[in-house]
Amino acid sequence: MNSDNGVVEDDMTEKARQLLLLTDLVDKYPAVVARRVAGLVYLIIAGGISFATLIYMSLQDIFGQADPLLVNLGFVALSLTFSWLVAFRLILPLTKSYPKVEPTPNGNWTVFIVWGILAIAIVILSFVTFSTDTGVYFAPALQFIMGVGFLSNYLGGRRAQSGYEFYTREHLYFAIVVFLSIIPMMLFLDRAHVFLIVADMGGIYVVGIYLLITAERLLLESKGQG
Amino acid sequence: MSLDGDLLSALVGLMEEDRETMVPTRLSVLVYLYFTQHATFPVLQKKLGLTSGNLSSHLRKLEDLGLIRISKRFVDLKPTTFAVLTQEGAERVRSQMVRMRELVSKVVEAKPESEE
Repeated sequence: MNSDNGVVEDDMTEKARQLLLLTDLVDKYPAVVARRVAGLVYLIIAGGISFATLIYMSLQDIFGQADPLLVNLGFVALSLTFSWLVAFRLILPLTKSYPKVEPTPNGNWTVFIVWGILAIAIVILSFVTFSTDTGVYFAPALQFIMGVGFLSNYLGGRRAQSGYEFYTREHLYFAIVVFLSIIPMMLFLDRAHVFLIVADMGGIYVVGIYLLITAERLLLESKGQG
Repeated sequence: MSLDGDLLSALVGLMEEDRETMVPTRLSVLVYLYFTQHATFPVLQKKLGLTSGNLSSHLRKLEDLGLIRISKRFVDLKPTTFAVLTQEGAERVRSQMVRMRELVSKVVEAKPESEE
């Protein structure tokens, strides 16, 4: 009789654990979708910038070299408009039926604020370098700003979610690669933009794909399975 | 009390709190839609092992509660019923599951102590 009770008890414990696992999956699933969307946004931004690069290189071939400041501003405007329009109009609505995770005071908002400040810094940098005839330093300085941005993504992602890391170390590694690429850029200033494109564009593509394929990993970092 | 008794009373308490969605069939429909976002009527019927009458009455109730949206579309020239989870539905599923986790965790964690 006692052994029968023990079997029933074990069975109930197992069922309770399965129930806890299900509740955990439900709790974390919006973060998985958000990570997938983040990966898609990265790919679309990279695609947008690639598209803009292609258009501008073709236009430069046709019309010759234009004012570097105007070229930079036009490039940024076109790539960002294309990327953000596609990303936010088409991809983010995919997540709208999931409960929104409110940003914590030190979490997601910090990343938005940091990127806002960095965007202003990029515009100012562009004006300063191209109006003072120091345009060769634009690419390395831009790379430093991008490194700070990706580092802030990593730190913000760690602090935003409790219990697990939304952005894992891929952003830290990316930031390190971006910072390290400044060295060859300073050594070969006239070819700095090549290192910038390879490190940043390649990195954004790799991080985007990595975010997509590892989204489910968040589900494995379970905290409340009894 | 034994674990099954404690667990059962905890879950019954939760069902008493929310008699509309904490019905096993409705909860399973909502949880399935939570992970898939949308599903056709035949898929839901097959996955959850329900009769068409049973499923349609629960879907109607969930739609009345604003937790799902039902639409009809033609797929391969056949009219097909789609069920889509609303944001309110997703929030309800998540909040109930988090609540369920708290209750079940308490029961499971309390058990070894009471045995000692």
